[in-house]
Amino acid sequence: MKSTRLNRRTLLRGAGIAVALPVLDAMLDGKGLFHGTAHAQTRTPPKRLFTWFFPGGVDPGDWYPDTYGTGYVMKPSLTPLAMNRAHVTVLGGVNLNMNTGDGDGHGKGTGCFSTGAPLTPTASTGHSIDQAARVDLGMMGESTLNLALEGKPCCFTAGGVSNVADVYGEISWQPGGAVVAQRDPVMVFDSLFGSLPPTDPAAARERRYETTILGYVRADITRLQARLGASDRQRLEAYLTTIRELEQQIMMMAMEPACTRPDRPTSAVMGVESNRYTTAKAKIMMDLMAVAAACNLRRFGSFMLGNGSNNSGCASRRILADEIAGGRVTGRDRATAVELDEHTAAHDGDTPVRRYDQIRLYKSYHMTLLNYFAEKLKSFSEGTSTVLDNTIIMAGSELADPVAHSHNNLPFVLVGHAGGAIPGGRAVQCGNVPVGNLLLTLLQAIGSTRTRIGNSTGTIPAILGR
Amino acid sequence: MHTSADSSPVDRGRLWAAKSLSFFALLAAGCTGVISDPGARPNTPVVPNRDGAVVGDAAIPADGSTPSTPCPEPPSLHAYLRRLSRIEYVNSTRVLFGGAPTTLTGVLPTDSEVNGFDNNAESTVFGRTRAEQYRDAARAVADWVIDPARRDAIVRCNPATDAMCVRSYVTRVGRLAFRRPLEAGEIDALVAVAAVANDDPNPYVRIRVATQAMLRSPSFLFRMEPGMAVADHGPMAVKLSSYEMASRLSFLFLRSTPTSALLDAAQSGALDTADGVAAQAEMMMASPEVRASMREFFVGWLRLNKLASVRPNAMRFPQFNETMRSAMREETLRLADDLAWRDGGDLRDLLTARYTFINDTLAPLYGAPTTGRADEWRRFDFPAGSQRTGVLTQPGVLAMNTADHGVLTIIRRGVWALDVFMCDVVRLPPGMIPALPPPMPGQSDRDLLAYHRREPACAACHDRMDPMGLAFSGYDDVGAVTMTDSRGLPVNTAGSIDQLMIGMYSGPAELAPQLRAHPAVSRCMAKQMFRYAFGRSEGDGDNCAVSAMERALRESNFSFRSMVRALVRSDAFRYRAPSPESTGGM
Repeated sequence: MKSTRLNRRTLLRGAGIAVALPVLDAMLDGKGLFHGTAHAQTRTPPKRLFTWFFPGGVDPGDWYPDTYGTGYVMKPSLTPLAMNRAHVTVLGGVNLNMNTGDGDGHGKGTGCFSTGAPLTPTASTGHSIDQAARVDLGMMGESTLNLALEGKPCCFTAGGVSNVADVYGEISWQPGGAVVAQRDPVMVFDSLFGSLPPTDPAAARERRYETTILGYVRADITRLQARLGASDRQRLEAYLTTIRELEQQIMMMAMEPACTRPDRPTSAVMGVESNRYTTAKAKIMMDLMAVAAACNLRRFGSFMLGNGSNNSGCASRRILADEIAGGRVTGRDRATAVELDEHTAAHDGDTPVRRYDQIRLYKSYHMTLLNYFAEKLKSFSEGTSTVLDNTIIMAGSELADPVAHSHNNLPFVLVGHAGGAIPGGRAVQCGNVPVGNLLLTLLQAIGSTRTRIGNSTGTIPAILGR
Repeated sequence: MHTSADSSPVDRGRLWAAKSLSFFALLAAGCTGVISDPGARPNTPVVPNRDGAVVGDAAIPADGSTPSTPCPEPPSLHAYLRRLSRIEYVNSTRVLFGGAPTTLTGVLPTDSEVNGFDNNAESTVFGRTRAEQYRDAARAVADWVIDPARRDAIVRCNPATDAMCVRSYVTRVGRLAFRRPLEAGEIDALVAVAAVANDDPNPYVRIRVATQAMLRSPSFLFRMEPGMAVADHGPMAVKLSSYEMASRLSFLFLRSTPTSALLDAAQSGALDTADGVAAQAEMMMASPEVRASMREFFVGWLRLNKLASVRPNAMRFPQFNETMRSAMREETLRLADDLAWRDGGDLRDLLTARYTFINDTLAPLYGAPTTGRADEWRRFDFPAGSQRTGVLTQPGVLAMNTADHGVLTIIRRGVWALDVFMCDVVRLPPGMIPALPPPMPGQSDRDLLAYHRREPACAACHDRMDPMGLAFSGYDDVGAVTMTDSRGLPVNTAGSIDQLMIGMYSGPAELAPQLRAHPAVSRCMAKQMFRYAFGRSEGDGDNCAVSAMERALRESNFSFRSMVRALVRSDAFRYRAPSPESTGGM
């Protein structure tokens, strides 16, 4: 995919065309995207928020700094991020604090790390931070961008788990269920940019048909809802919401995009199965997420590198070995052999010593990919800042110390500045606060006025440099 | 979950066995997965309450006669608005159009499995990804429908020359898609949608657009069951209409929208009574299509989809390949077919059958002779002295419950058996699992597992899942007999499980008959059927239906068909709650 530079003129042209359309109307009316008027010089870039999940916890001794503050020493697991140290905030002392609800170590961590709300056997009881951002700051029909690389672990029963795949394979939640992530890069591209360029006559015709069908479905849902009871009506309402999102999307597609349309990925470009966690796929997905952010197509979302519970076996082992051999994982001794897959490393390697050894290798790999995403966002400039400056990435995992499967002191790293609210360049000891406090702090940093999320009891001012 | 506090017209004197109390109290306290009370259930195992009174699954009389679990008043009859699963969508497409594009399955959303079943309705937030997948699926089907090679057969008129073509098409296909005759207004609306393509150079695009609209309509994607108020069941129940009954039968037996013939039966009033529904079910159970489709019940119950992700170490198990993977699945389903549909078939033989079905791919795993005819399936009777028993020791089941690490393999195999046959879902406590000490030379997997049982908090669950799993430790990653464990030390499969009242056994062949006789097994079978049929986990309000199925099993030597008969005659199958309640399920 080409690297895309934002062009202020095309951005404005796109916005200008859109004035009659509800979504961009709303974007222009001071909801945070284009403050006040659509003048380039006075435009305040939108604040964006993405969660970024890496599986399997960390080796605490190789992750948490010995002392906190601006002068902290970055531990080796985090050194792939060293070049972006000024944009990074390393957090200690954030606990999941999830003593109620369902789920085992992996499921509870995955299902709750970005919600701070307990799980039922089938779902979350709260919003994840990306969905909360959409609820608090989004417009009618605004979508989040939720991406994952692996399929959900099918059919878990063994190992003592709750039998529900979503809590292992999804990190974006609304009360009641997962916001299922997209896993196919081509589909992601098409939903962002359309499969055909907007000027193609066949595309125009298809948009007309699709708009008619969507109108029919919307009317049909509303008509049938009147005949159903409350709970059934609510289920149809969720379908209706997606129909409205698709209607907005198709209107957006009719417009020239706010920035250069990137090349559509092909399976040849991917070079991988569409449902597998590989480096190539991770990068393509992060490219799409970055361009969606830069083009203001999506402001909020989630990215899931892998599932903490997937025994992808030789696959993850081979990928990591290749990355190390190719010198693409930095900060690690290449001689160290990759012997265990990720879940096994977190779980039942022969000895704790060897497990930590493997876990550290994987963390370097994960942080190398996180750094890639940061670099990608940084490559888009917005006035005098970059998209990274106006974004906050909340990177986290479902476990703290995987050998204990614990949730105390969960590993969180923030990358970006949320439009200047978060100074970065420091490590913050949060002092054993529930994860909700972190979520609330970040939501407020991007402009939300809410005062609670999940198990929050307050905010963490030190993240904001206070 | 029952506790003595919230139910108990049970005659305590008839409780199955006094000693079982402690076990079931333990289950009630924290180590089982009953879904009715989310949030209130602690995850941390609790030491059994020695004098705890219980009921629930323990309420089985000592003589093994019908349990006296009461029907709650009124039963819940709760019914979710169910979305078509992937398989149901594809099957329905076949009913509508006589076929489906080969790419369709890949386009459709995958289903989240709950308790092994992929048709669960409990977690169904309808996100944008799903909406896009349904959009693409409808387009793929509609393109396939108007392909010049088949459109005449499917559309049965020419939209270029016949002004009524779209109308007759949506009237006929819409009845199958919406599983009822269309209202006049619905036909008009679809005709109007198709008209958007009136100036398209290809007149069949009108058919395409109408097809897309039908397939994205909530009437197709969701199984609407508004029902109708009836006097006989009071205000808490509405009776399902004849067409809704046709749908329930069709989705239960064929995982598909009803055929035209079944809709005709509904129209004739044949499904208005319990007897009529039962007669239709009886007819359907005789058909090979239904028997093939009901394999999905066993796939879900036995969690066979786990086989798809099995990856034995290629160096140690070079014989494993895709052919073997599918043969393993087929073996288990052949035994299930045999027990479900053969006259005299006994579902308990899933635990204790002394035979299985093999082909040449599987024969070496059993040390059985090959025939040279690769595809030939045959019954294989276990030789005297073999520890093999039922599905418990089938290679596929063993392989899919194998982990990269010996100790975890043992635990998984134990957990699987508890979950599948006793509905005893063992959960890990949240976090803070103490690390096992590093293994010493000469310590076997069994020795390592013993650590789990020293801590009372761990032992509460490990005391039953470890000995259960150790019974199956005499089989390697692909299910062949092995003499040594993962640490190279001799295997010892003997044990006993006090929590489950299971006495000493030397291996699976002595464990399985004790499981077979265990009172939790019949109830669990009924629960599994309930979950499959209703797309949700059973709760307190569902005891009527579950008990009726359990009773049918016990009174028929565990005949699968008898259980299904009880299911379709149950109120839960023919009535539903009027759905005013907001369940918080969304």
